[in-house]
Amino acid sequence: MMQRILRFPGFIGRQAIRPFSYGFAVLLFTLRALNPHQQGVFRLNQGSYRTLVGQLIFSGIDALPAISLLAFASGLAVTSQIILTIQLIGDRTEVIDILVRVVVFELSTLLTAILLIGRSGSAITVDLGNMKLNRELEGVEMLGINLNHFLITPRVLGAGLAQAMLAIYFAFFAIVTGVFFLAFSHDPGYFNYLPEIAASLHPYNLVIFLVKNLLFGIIIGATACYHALQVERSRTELPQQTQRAIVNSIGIVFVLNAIFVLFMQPPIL
Amino acid sequence: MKTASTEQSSITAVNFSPTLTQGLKSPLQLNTSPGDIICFIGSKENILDTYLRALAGLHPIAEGDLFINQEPIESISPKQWSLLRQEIAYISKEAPLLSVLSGMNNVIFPALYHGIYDRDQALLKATELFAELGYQGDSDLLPAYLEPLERLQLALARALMLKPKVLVLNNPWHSLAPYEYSVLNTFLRHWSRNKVLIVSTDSLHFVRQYATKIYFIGPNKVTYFQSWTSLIESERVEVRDFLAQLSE
Repeated sequence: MMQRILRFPGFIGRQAIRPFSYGFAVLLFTLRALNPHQQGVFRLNQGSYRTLVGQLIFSGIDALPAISLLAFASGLAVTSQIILTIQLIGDRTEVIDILVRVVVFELSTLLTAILLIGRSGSAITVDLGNMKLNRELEGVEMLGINLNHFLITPRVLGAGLAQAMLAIYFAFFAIVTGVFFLAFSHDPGYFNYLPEIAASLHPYNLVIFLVKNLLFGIIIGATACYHALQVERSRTELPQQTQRAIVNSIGIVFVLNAIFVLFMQPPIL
Repeated sequence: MKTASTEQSSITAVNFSPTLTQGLKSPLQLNTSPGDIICFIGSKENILDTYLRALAGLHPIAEGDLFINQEPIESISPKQWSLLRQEIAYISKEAPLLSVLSGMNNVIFPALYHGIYDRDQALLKATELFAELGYQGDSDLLPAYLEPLERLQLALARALMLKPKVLVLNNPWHSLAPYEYSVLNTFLRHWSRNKVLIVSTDSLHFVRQYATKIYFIGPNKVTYFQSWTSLIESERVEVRDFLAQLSE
């Protein structure tokens, strides 16, 4: 009994350190995946290029119908509501500022990330995890192929590029849908919001937006790959690692997004 | 490090034993030369595989020395290993292909990765290898839809695309039907004429017909036999038991 009591502070300490050690492990894994000079050889060649293109098609192009639906629904529900509500209490500049902050910079990023995690992140974990279970990865290594170059880096980069492209697409589609809805249902004058919103986009904010989305996509891809490679021998590990990859990716993306908002975004007008 | 494609690769093991096999009293002495068909036989499959993997530089060594191309393996850098993997091909018992790629893409991707061929050349070379291997499956299908023999042939073709000089195979016959043995045996015999084949097997027919060196890995001793005749004439009880078991 006494021993159990004495062990308790250690248990608390270990649990407190766990998120940080996990974050550090994923960070190292990501940096390793993005380091092109592993083993002194630079290789993003024909073999890995095909994996990258495949990942871009799966995570980016194949996700367009789903992201279009989300953007359309968000345009109707969020963009139009923000315009209608905020214009009652603020002037036009404030409406545009809030619209850009909420829909363009936050909603697009987070909804796209959630879709990418659910669709591509889980697929990457299952895909690579199965390959590891079936010892296919070992077979690839036996051929002198660096797993990072051939399987990990293209997937991580592909997820990053897909997230950036999909977020831009989402933001554009959600704003246009909302404005068009108001213009046709209320007043054609709402069309004027479109050029004004475009003019209010500061290059600094756009760069931050792009960097943020690339980073989130890379983290989603890397977390998925990291958990896939944690699968050892048992098939039961695969669903366990997949759910960990999904939950942890969502957690990391939301925390990082909050950090971006706190430290990178300009003050409210 | 000798890695030029015109030179022969060699493996030399001196008083060698891999980890997990420390109970064995006599370590392995082995030296490969072109044309060798070296068979590892014994009742414990995992021990045989451990030896093969260690000889291919994939498993740690407990004692002794292992030289690949006259170079002690401790001094081989990760970059050199990448090149050596092309020269010394190891194919495990399951011979797993990448499940997400078609048969043909499975065969050509290592050559594309290493920049040995461009895509057209790789396709041409793969077709030549299919003919040599007697492959009759549909190479556009995913591996899951292929027969065990076809999967094995694709795994062999994938390794051979990298022009290896030593082929290390862990019991490639294990999932094949007996009537398929001859397809594989004919190819292996043809391929190993001026290269080295190291294989673990329970196919006594193959050992009898083709082996130039035989290593019996017993429960506590490694025994070398120069020929099939010396193997069957052995007075050692464990060898006789093993042969009797396989003959049943």
